[in-house]
Amino acid sequence: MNRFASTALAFTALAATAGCMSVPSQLDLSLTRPTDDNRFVVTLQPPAKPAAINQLHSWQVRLASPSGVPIEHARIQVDGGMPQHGHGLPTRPQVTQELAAGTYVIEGMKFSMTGWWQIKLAIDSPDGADKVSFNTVVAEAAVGR
Amino acid sequence: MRRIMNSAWLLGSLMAISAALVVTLADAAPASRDANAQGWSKEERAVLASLSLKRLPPVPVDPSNAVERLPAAIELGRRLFADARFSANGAVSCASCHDPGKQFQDGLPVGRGVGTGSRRAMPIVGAGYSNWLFWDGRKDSLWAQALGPLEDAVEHGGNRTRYAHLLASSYREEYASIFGPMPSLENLPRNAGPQGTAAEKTDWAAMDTRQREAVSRVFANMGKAIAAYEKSLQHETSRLDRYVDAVAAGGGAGLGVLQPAEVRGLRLFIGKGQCVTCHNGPLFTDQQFHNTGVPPRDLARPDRGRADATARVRGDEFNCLGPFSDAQPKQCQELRFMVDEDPTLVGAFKTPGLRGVAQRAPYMHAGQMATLEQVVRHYLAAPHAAVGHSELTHRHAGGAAVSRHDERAPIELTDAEVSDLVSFLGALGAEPALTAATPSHPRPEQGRASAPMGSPECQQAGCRADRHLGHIELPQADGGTTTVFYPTGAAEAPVQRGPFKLTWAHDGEALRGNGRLVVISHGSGGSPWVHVDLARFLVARGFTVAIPQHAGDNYQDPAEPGPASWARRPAEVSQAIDRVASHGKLGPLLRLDAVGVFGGSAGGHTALTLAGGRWSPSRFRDHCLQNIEQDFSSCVGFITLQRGDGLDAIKAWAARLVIRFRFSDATPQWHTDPRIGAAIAMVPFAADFDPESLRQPRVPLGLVIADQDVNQVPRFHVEAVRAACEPRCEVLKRLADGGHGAMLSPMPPLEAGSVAARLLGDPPSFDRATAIAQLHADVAGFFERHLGPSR
Repeated sequence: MNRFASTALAFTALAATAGCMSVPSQLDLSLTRPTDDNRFVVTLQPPAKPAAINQLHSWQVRLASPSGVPIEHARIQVDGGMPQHGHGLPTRPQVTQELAAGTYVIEGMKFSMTGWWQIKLAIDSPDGADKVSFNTVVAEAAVGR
Repeated sequence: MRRIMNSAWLLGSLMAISAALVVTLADAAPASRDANAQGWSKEERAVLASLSLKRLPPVPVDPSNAVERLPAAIELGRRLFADARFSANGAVSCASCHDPGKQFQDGLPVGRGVGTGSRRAMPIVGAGYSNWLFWDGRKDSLWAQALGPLEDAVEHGGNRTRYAHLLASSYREEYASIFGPMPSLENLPRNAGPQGTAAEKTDWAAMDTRQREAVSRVFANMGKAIAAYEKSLQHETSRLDRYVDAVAAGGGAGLGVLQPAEVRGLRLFIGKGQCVTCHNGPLFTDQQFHNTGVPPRDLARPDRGRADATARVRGDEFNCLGPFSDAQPKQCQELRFMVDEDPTLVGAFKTPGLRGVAQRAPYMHAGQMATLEQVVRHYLAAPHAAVGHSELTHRHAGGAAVSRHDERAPIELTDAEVSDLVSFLGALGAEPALTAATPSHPRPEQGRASAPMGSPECQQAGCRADRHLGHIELPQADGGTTTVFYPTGAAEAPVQRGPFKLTWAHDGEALRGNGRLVVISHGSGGSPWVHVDLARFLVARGFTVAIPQHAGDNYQDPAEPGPASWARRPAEVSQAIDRVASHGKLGPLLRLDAVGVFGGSAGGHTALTLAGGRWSPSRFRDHCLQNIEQDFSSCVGFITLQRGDGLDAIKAWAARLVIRFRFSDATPQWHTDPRIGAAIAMVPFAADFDPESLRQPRVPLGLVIADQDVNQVPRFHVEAVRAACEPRCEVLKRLADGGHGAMLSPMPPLEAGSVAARLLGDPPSFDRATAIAQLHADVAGFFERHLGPSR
């Protein structure tokens, strides 16, 4: 199980540890989401081995049409941050390659603290442009610097 | 002849050189030894565990610096760090602003090199964990960082060819052993560089590309050596570490090391104070840049922080991708994925780590705040940023708390909570050498007001005029007496000791002071009475002071001075600590896991030994055979002087003869005590120490130098120690006009024209009253800094 919050357990733990800064209780932590205008369905895949806080790591993105056809040759911009802290990502991650049809690699991901992070993707492809935003909660277990 | 040699050791002969101080950290408070009983939830325990120094991984490898782990590079870096010749005026070294005795910072609001900077000097320990260096992260490695100040006009103010020439003349072999032979610098200008004055820039431009490259490479390598040294520095454990480790273990004695107020503060730190959101992990920093609306020093020209730094680091010739980096481009991921052009970077500065923070005022990136309370209150006030936007929020007008969950909640604390949080931050300082046994948990006195009295001694913060000088004498097994001074409320009465008219409250009831003990080791032939002024000052600051009588080398029994006494003295300090510890009234008021030791002259020898120094009689012999004419009194003592007449040569010959026969033992002598937490050596006899043994003192070590000392000529003694131990020791005080007798206060009467007067008397230009008051304040401050909280 990866540590990024997809389970209720991790989520609960985080909400409690943050104390002051509890993660909103209805946060949608699903890793597969339709884009805002339902043009695509996007699946985020965290690294198999959780990265430590402040360690660079990579994610993968699978991009498909609503009917499940992989979307190739898309340009994806990565943004995000911590809405509760008013700051963005500590790095500027980039999509560096398309591993297979519709599967892209995001390099340069980093989380500098525990808590609720947003990962926002802006997708531009021959099939149109759309946006999607994911929530992830980084748990204390990842700390180690 | 025998007489000459005996007298050789009667350095302080009429007087004493040392005493012992102790501090009492007051009121021990009860604490539960059961983690659950302290009320930490499972989730909170996980956060606490994340702060432990044990969770700090090894410092990451910097692929851009191939030599960072080479011992030779670390050693060269250590020397360069402290070498003030690498500056425009020959007076500024890295250690000037990054003082090893002050957590590698300078305690000033903004840096002061050859000029005045615009930001606060940052501490260095742990910097190897940062991807971005400086407050604004304008460098991407520790070695590139080290180069910045070297050619900054207001810091070192030097230039690349100047430094290259100096390396070639002073460090050629050391450099070559790490980086290969130095390039030829023949015909290169003495002063040229791309950052300097117009003339320096012109001369730099006149050099050909290959020459500029070669010099810049030497310059870069200098940074790599300094970085290697800096990276070898490590954090020491704090009381918090012991506490959180005990919590993680489910209980134990470590739970007792934090006071209730500190535990409450810790709960706020990881809870509603929100501190841990940015001050996270074992180093208490997320290593990122944040705008928290800290007011700029100069409102007219607010510092844009990180926003102005990203282009600089990208364009820096010394970055990870540059020609002087040892990294493959693919290893430069941080630079590759660096955030720039983000509005949140405007006015953002790096989150500083908080280990040792209570001893590192003033605060913020330009020292804008003098106290931690001001800092905490800044986060409550959450002012709008002068430039960019603060991440902090306020409670909105009308009193309703922020309800939107996508915005940072305001930080709201009561006055009591602010106080608790500040108390907690005091638990993050390095603990001096710990003993195996867990000490009882002293509680710093709260809310003590400084109470000035007439004497200059008591106009310092933390001094209390209502602490009178308690006095008691504890018998030693060898027939001598350990004199102990401690805070008391009892009235003092006049006493006469030898030539001294003194006052104290004999056997007065002991008051709780700051919980700390300082032991003063007196000089050869010394007594406690010549250290009463220092003892009084320390007692007013809350310390307890013990002065053991060194057997065979005191005013009553001067029969066995020199190496025979030197070998016994450190153990006599240990025994004095034992004696005070077992005293029914004094012992319970003291926390003896970190005891200070102060000594002058032969007492300085004692202090250096307890700091880890090793010496041998044969080293003394070698020193005197070689240098007797220049350091006559150290080798011969108070019996005679060189008078520039025909007898000098005979005196030196005779002394050499005796020394040669008498001091042949080359066995290293040493004695340490884990309870010693800091040491000060004043005008020490030290020519017989192995310099290697002093390179890394086992406790914080302060030196007091009297430049006019004709008894222990500084360059053979204290300056030799300094050369060995810097930057891991500090020159606590340099008395430019002081002589050997500056260690004595009150000063005993000296017969005019006597040998003692020549060797111990104050030089005419010495302003004793002012200098001694400052010295005493510096000694007290040193022990307060290094022995732990004594508020």
